[in-house]
Amino acid sequence: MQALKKNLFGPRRSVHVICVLFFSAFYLFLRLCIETELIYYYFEMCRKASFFRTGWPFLRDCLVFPGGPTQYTAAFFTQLCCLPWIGPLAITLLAWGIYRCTVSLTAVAADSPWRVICYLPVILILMICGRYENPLSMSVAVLVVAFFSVLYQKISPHLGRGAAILFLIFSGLLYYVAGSTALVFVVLAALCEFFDRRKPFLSAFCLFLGPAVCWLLGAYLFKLDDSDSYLFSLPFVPIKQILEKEKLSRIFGWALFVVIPMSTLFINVYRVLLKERITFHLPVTSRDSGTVPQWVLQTVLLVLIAVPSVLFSFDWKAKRTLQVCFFARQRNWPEALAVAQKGSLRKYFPFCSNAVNRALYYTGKLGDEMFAYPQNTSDSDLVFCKIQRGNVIFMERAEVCLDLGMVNVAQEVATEFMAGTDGNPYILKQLALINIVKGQVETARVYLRALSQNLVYRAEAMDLLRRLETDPLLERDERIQYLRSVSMNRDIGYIVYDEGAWLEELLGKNKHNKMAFEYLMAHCLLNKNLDKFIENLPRLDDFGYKEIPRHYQEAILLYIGITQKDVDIGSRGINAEVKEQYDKINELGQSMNNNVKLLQKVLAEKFGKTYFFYFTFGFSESKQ
Amino acid sequence: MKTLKVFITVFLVTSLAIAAVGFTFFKSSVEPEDFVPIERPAAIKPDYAGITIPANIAPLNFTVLEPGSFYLVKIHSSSGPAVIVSDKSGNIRIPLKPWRSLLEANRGGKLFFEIYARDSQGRWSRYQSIENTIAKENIDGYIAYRRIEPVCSYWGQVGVFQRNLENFEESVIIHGRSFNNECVNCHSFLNHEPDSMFVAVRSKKYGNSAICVRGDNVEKIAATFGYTAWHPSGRIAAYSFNKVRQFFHTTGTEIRDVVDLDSTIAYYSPDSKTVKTAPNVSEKNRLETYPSWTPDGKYLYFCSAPMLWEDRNKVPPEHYEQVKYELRRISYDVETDRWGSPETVLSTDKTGLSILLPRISPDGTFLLFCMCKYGCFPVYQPTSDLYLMNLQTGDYRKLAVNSEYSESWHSWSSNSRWIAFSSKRNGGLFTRTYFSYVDEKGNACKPFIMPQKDPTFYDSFIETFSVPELITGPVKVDYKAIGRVVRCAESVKVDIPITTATPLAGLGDMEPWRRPE
Repeated sequence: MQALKKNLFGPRRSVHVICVLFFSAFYLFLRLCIETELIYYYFEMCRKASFFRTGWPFLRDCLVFPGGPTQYTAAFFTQLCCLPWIGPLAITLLAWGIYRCTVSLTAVAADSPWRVICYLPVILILMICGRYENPLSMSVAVLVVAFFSVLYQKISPHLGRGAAILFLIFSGLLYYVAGSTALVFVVLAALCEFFDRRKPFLSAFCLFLGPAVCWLLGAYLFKLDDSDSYLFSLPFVPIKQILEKEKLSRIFGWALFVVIPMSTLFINVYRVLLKERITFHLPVTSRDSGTVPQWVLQTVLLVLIAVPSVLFSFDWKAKRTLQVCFFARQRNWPEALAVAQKGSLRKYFPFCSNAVNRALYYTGKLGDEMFAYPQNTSDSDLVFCKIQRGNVIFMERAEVCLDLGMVNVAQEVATEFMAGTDGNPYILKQLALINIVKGQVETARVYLRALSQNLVYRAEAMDLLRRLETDPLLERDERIQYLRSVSMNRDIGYIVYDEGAWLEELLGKNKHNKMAFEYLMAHCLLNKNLDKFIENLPRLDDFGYKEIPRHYQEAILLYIGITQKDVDIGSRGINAEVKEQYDKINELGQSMNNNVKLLQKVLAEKFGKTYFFYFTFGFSESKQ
Repeated sequence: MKTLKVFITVFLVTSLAIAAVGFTFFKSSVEPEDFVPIERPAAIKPDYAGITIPANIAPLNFTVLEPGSFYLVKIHSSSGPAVIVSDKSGNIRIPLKPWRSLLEANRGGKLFFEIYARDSQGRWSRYQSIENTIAKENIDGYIAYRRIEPVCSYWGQVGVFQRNLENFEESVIIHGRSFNNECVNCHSFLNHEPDSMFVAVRSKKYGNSAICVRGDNVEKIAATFGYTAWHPSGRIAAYSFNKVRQFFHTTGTEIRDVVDLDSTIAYYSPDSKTVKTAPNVSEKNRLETYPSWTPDGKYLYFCSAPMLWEDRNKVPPEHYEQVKYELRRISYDVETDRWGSPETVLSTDKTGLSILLPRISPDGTFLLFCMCKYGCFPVYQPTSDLYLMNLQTGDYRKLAVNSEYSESWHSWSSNSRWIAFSSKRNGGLFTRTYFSYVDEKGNACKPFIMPQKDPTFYDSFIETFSVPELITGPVKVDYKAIGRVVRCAESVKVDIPITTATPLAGLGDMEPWRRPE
C-alpha cells in the first residue's frame, strides 16, 4: 500500500498529474470561457493579419522572407480557431510543447516548487488569448526556437569546438524559420554555454555572432534594410495606433519572448548563488511526518500565479462585445441582442452599436427599442461610423450597405477595408457578393476563386461557384434578387458619405425598402432632425405598420411640443404611457429649473431608455 | 556476396521503376492515332486562339475547358519538332526551350495547337486546330508595370515590377515596402531603354518626390511629378502637374472616378536640375495633361480641356461629367529651349469624346490614344477605347482590340510593331496586360493576355496590372538602392513655378490616395 501510494503520489507522477490537470484546465478555459471562435473573428478584423491560403503562391510568398515558415504554420493553425473544439486543442498543444521545452531548458527538477516557472510562457499565452489577440504566430515562433534551443543543449556538449558551428547553423536556420525570434535562441545558447558548460568565451561568441548572423542573412540574403533585419520578421509589429486592449496584449507578447531566457537565467543564477542544483529533494510525501508535499506546494504556487494573472488579463467586456458582432455576422439576431442586453460593452468597439441596430432592425425592434441600447450623437453607428479605431476594421459595414441597397458604396467600403489586409476572406466574400448583385460575374468569380483558397470559406466559395455555373446571374437566389430590387439607380458622385440623403434616395427608388425606411427614421432620430422625421412619417403606410413604433411616438410628441404644430398620424394613436412619460419629463424639467445635471440624474433611472432622454442629453442611458 | 545481391536487387527494382515511369510518361506524350474528330476548336483559357504572337514570347500556357479526364496538346508549325504537352486537369504548361526553338524556326509562319481530350472510357477526341501566327518582329524583352489591388482611397502593397517577357521571371523595380508601404506610380522610360527612368513616389513620411534613374545614378527630386515623358534626347522630361482628386459613384460598373481640379505641364532638366513651364502648355483656365513627345523631339503632344468650375477645391467639381479633353501639340526646339504655339490636332467637337493618353509610335507613323465619355482618367471609364491615328493623314479609327470595358495605359514597343495595354475586359474590375500586333498599315490583331507560368493565374489573382511600359531590357538598379534614395532626407530641390495646380503646403490630408494607418 505504501509502495502504491508512493507510485501514485511520488514526485514524478504527481508532476504529470499537475501537468495534465493544468493543461486540461487550460483547454477548458479556452474552449468555454475565451471561445477561440471570437479570437478568430477578431483576427479577421485586424488589418495586418495574414490569412492562410492553399496552393503554392502563398507558400512561396512565405518562404522568401525570414520568419515566413513560422508565419505560414501560424496562419494554418489560426484557421483552426474557428472550430470550437479543435482551435483550443491546437493552442493547448502548442502551449504544452513550449512548456516541455522550458522544462528541458531550465532543468528544474520535477518535484521543485520552481517548476512553476516553466508554466509562465503558457500562462502568458492564455493571457494573450484573454485579450482576444491571436497568440499563434508568437507561440509557433517561440516553440520552434525553444525546441532548437533544447536540441542545442543536448547536442552541443558532444561536439566540442563543433558547438560553435552548430550554433551558427542553428542561428541561421532559425532566423529563416522564425525570424527575429532567433535572438531568443542566441540568448538561450549563450546561457547554456555560460552556466552549463562554463565556457564564457563561447557564450560571448554566441551573443556577438548570433545577432550578426541574423543581420547578415537579413541584409544580404533577404535584402532587408538594416533595421528591418531585426524588426521586419517579428511575429508582431509595433504599431503606433493600437487599441487600449492591444497595448496590454502586446506587453504580454513581448513578455512571452523574454520569459524563457529570463527563467533560464534566473534558475541558473539561483543555482550559482546557492552553489547547488535546485532539486529540492526534500523527503518524499509524508502526511504522517507533517511536511508539506512538494507537489502540493507546486500546485498552490501554480494556482496562485495562474488564476489571478488569467483573471486579471481576461477582457470579458471585449468578449461580450465581440459576441454581439460575431452573432450579428452570423445573422443570429436574437442571440446578438440577448448578449447586448447584458450591457457592459466595450466602448472602443463603436461598431458594436451598428451590430445592435442591425439586430434590432431584423427582429423588428429598431423603432421601439433602439434607445434601450448605447446610442450617442458623437459616435453612434447606424451605417457609417464617425470614428475610426486604430488597426481594427469593421468589416460588416459593407454588408449593411449592401443590405440597404447601396451596392457601389458597399463595394467602396469593402475595397477600403481590403487594403492592407492580405486578402481578408470575409471581405473577399463580400466583394464577390457585391459583384454578383451588380451582374459582374467574371469579377465575382475571381474573388470566389481567391476565397476558395481559404480553408474556412472554401466550401462556401465552391458552392457559389457551382451555382454560378448553372445560374450565372443567380436569378433564382431570393436575396440577390431582393438586393437588385432595392439597389440605388441614380448616380451620385460623392467623396463623403451622405447617410440621410442616400437613405431617402433608396426609398425614392423602392418605396418598399423597409430597411432604408427604418434606418432613415433612426438616422433622423439620432441626429435630432425632427423635421425630416415628420416629413417621412407618412411612409408608415407603405409598410403596413399597425401601430406607431414607440420611439417614433416619442419623437412626434417632442416635435409637437417644440414646434406647436399638428402632426397627421392617421388612424394610429399615441400610447397613453408615452404621453404620460412626456408630461412627467416636462414637469420634472420645469421643477428643476433646467438644472441639467440634476435632471439627467433623475431622468436616467426611469427614462434613460426613451428618445426623450436621448434628445435632451445626446446619449441613451443604457447599461454601460 | 550478400551485399552484392542486395545491391543488384535494389538496382534492378529502381531501374524497373524508372522504366515504368518513363514508359507511362512516354505513352501519355504520344499523339493518339485513334480519335473522334470534333469540328470546332477547343475552348481554352486564356484565349490564345487566332492571335499573332512574337517569336520571343514566353510559353502561352493555358487550360483546356473541355470535358475529359486527360488532355494532350501538340504544338507544331511548318518546321522544327513539335512540342507535346499533356495533363490530367487540362492545365497545359509548355516547356520553355522547345517552345522558343519552335517559334524561332517559324517566324512569320503559323503555329498550331492540336488539342486532344480523353474521356473516362479512354476514348480520344481531337478538336479542330487552333491557328495562331508568329510575327516576324520581336516584342521588347521586358515590360514594367505597377501591381496593386483595385484600391479606393487606401492601398496595401504597391510596387512597380519588371517582367521578362521571354520567360516568366518577375522582379521588383521599386516597392512601397522599401519606404513605409507608401505609394509609387507613373513610371516612364527614355526611348524604351531601362537605363533612364522616372517614377513618382507619394509618401507622407518621406515626402512626395520623383525618382530619376540615369544609369547607376538615382536622384530624388523634391517635386510631385504626374505623367512624365522624356524628351528623346534625354535632356528634359515633360511632366504634368495634377491637382488630382478621387471620388466615387453610387451606381455603375466602376465605382471610382478621378478628376483633375487643375493641371498643367512643366518640364524638368536633369542636367541643370530646374523646372520650367511654358505659357502655352500651362494656361490658367485650361487643364493640360498627358505629355508625349514625337520621336524626333520636335513636338509635344498633350491633352487639354477647359476648366468648367470656379471652385477649385470642391470634389467632385461642377460639370465634371462634361469635361472633355482635346488633343493638342506644340513645337519645341531643345537646342534653344523655345516653344511654339499650340495647335489642335483632334478636337472634342469632332469626336464628342474626351481624348486622353496620346502615345506616338517610335517610327513616328501612328498616334495611339484613348477616348472616353468624359474626364481625364480612362482606366476608371468603362467607355474608354483605344484609337489609332495616322500622323501623316490625320485619319483615326477605333481599333479592333477594344471591349465593352476600359482599355487604357497603352505603350508601343521600340520597333513600333507591338502595343501593350491595360484592359478590364474580364469582368470590368481587374486590369490585365494585353499585347497586340500592329502592322505597317495600322491594323491591330486580336490581343492576347500576358502569359503566366500558371495557366490559372488570372482566375484568382486579385491585383491589377497597370501602366505596362515595354522596355528593351531590365532595369539594373537594385530596388533597395532606389528605396534608400526615397528614404534619404537629401533631395534635389527645385523651384516649382507657381500655378493654380501647385499644391499648397498643408494639403497632405487632401491626397486622394492614402496608406492605411
